[in-house]
Amino acid sequence: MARLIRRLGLLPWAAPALLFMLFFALYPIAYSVHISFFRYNLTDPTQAKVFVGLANYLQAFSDHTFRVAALNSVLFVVLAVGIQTVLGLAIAVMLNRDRPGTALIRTMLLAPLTLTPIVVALVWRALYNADYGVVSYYLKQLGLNVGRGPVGEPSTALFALVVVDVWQWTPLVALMLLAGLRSQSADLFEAAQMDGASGWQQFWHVALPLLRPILIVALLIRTMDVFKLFDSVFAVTGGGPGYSTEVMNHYIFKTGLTFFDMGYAAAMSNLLLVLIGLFTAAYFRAIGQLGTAR
Amino acid sequence: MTAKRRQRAADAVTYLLLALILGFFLLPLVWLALTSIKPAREAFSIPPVWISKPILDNYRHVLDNVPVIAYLKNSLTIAAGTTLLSLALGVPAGYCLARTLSRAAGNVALLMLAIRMAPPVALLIPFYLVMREVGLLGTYLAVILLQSVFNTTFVTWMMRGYFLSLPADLELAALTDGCTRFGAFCRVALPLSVPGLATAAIFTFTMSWNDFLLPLLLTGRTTRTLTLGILETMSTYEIGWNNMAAIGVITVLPVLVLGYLLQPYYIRGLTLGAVRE
Amino acid sequence: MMWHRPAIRILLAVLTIVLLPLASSVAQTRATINLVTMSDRFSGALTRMAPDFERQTGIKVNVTVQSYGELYTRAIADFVGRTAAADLYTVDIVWTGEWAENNYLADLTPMIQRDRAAIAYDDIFPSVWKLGGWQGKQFAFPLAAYAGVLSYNKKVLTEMNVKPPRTVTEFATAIQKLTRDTRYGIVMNGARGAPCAQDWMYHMLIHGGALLDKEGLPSLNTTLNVRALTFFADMFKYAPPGATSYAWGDRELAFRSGVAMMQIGWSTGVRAHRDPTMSRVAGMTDITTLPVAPGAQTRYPLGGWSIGINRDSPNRQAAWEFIKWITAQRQRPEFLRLGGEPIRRSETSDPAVLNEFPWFAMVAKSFEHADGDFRPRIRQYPRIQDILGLEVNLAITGQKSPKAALDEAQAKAMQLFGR
Repeated sequence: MARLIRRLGLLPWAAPALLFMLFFALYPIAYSVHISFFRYNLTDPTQAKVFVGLANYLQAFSDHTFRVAALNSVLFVVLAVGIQTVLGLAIAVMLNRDRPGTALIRTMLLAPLTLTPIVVALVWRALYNADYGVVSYYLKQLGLNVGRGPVGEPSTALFALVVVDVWQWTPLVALMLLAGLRSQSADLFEAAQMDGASGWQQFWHVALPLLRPILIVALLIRTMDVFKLFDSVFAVTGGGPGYSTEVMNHYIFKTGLTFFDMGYAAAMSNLLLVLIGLFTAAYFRAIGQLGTAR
Repeated sequence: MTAKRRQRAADAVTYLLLALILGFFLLPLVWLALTSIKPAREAFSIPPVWISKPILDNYRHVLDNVPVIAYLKNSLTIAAGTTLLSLALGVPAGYCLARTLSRAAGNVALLMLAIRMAPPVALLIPFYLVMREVGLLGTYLAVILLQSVFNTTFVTWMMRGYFLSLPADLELAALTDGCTRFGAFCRVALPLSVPGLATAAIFTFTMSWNDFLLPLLLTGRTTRTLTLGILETMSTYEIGWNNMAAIGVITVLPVLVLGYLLQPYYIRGLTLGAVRE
Repeated sequence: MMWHRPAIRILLAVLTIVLLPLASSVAQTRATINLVTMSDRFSGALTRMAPDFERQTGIKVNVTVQSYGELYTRAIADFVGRTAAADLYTVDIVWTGEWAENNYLADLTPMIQRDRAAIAYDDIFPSVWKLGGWQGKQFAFPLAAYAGVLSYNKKVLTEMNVKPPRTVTEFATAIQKLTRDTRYGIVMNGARGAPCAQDWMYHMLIHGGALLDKEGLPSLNTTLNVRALTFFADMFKYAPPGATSYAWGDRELAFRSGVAMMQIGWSTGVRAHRDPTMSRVAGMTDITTLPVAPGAQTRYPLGGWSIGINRDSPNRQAAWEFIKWITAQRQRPEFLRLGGEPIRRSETSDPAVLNEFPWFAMVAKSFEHADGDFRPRIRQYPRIQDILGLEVNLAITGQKSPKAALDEAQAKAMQLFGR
């Protein structure tokens, strides 16, 4: 017994958390896999569960809205995470050098990421309004044709929601990367400087490679969360105009929790899980390569 | 001399860029604050009226028409409950993962991450059905349980990072002095990890407070949160941006203030688990 | 689903002890009923009048206000989960069929028959019984009825020498003539979902179209409907540019702020048009009946809300008492004053009421001829509306032709009927 405990080490300490996950995460996921093989519509007066095999999954692949939603979700992730990384890195580099006022700016940057996303979404909805919105007004003053407004034009609506996400979460990336830059020792840079490297070369060949682990973690966190995007679509566009801003999370919510088509919604949410899993696995490969390279 | 001039030019450009960026990040905040103290008719003037005579009518209207105090209490209860439960489960788990170097521990860590990446809606649908079976829909507990699923994974990973940053020697010394593992954890590791605990707590509290999707389906009449109350001010026929702004300010203020008061912990939390991979 | 119950119960019991103070919110006293209401104007009246009811009867009514989407989602969740989270729900006229056929609501017919005299049954407009009435039974009681009316900015129309349009042709001409620079002839809901679907349905109605054929099957892509959608999409050229993302609140705001000169909407918005604290056009507006297509008859759309009892409610009697009280002749003037809308002939003919709400005369006339079925109240309506909400939005944002959009909508709608 004592040997067993020693061999297990501290693992029993994780038992409560694991048990909790078993009941409230793994069991629901397993149940969701189970009902994804049934036609199970709660608004059906009989609430009968009819086994349909893979029909729900096949339906998803032939459902135009689902395919557009999947594509939009991926596009959203690529755009939002890409912009957040570039902008976040730029801000981190600018704030890294101690200039007067940078501490204050750093503090101010904290605000967006503490704010309630549903409030943020509603504020942007008001700002974007083509007729009374402040953003549209100033864009018009700059001589731009905003047409039906940033979220009203099918061509710009998705990007307008990306801006909302960028607004809220770039500070997170920036502050993470800034902390990473701060933890790099100055000796390395002095050595590089002695070798005659320019500021840009120092950044590219010394700072950035060292920053890579944090960068990947930041990308990972943001990717997982952008796939979960819901509040801004729900509160600003409802998925419109047309399909322009329909994303998977919102479509699944509508199918499952507005029309209560549980089997189909479960099938789609399992597909979303697989999609996020693929992205995460890609990042893990990146981290793994990093480990062997070192 | 040229180097100095170039440096000065670079500084000027940097400041200009920072000013632009800051403007972008502050504009919505300023709009929210100013709209909440503007009369309804001015909320949407063209060209925009930024400064007008401040009034408190919107706050009065919101307090009269939305049970703000009750919603505040509900949001607070749920956020506090989620924070307590997530820490109770996540801190020991994080400690375990930091001090165990077995393959099993690695797998547990990965499992936690896998759950963290699950979209809430994927869990929400089956969870809703289960909560309905056991008659817990509409209680604080239902929301707290599901929010804790996501937050426990987060706390576990964050605390793992934190405990890894603490030297294990002190705990070993305590163990050789005859302490149990639990004793060593309580007397040595826990006191040292108070900043980490604070970080995990603010993050969990903020995430729970800001949540909209889970309360939307899992809360009931007596457990509605502030995030749901916001939509009540948006009556179908009278879109009350100024009233929305007032209740929006009430909603964001607690977490904003908390974030600023505990700023060092907040920023630290951003990098935990990231710096020490 | 059976095996997990004991295990989950045990775990929950442990957690409940830990979190006992947090979970104690479900306890309820006897004489309390829960009412969930839509966040329309009348919700303010319900909230403010509930304490009076408690004072008179000892029954406490907790009123929860919810937005349209949230109310629908939560109500269905409550019904299918049989959780009886609320005793009373306000019911949109278009949900009547779905909620009645799925037995979500208690049948009020026996109680109405029993208390027929006390509720002054005949005083309620016959058409208004469509709010909650389904196949000869009454599943919810009319609470606030709306008439679909054409609101217009009288001052500008007079200045421009434009008469309130009587026909669809005059309507189109007026819209174009009134549009100048930053002033727009009309404003409509264009946002994807219920907003654009429902506003298009007004236009379908005035063009003489219908959503169902004689057999009760979808007929979304008829020539008349395509013509109506073409007209609807065209008119967005004369609406504020952002209108394709507008919902009711945005549309009303555009009219109230004097940006748009005309709109078709429910009569519940009129009050705010006339309120100088909210409106820049107070005193300049008027309402009239909807224009009509050549050869078609004038139509009087009926919408609004009824109030029904959750079939799982343990407090049916108390809930019925509240319904009778809030809809009684005695309470109505107060209900109207606080933001409610009429359902009774006595309300719309009372000189004191008419003095305060002069437009009720026209609303009453509309109720006498009202059509509560232009949006078919059938079980499939919410899904049909969702389909139209997408396809109409695609048409008005130029992503699909009106014909293609309605063809697609028709194909999807037929699937709901197993065709």
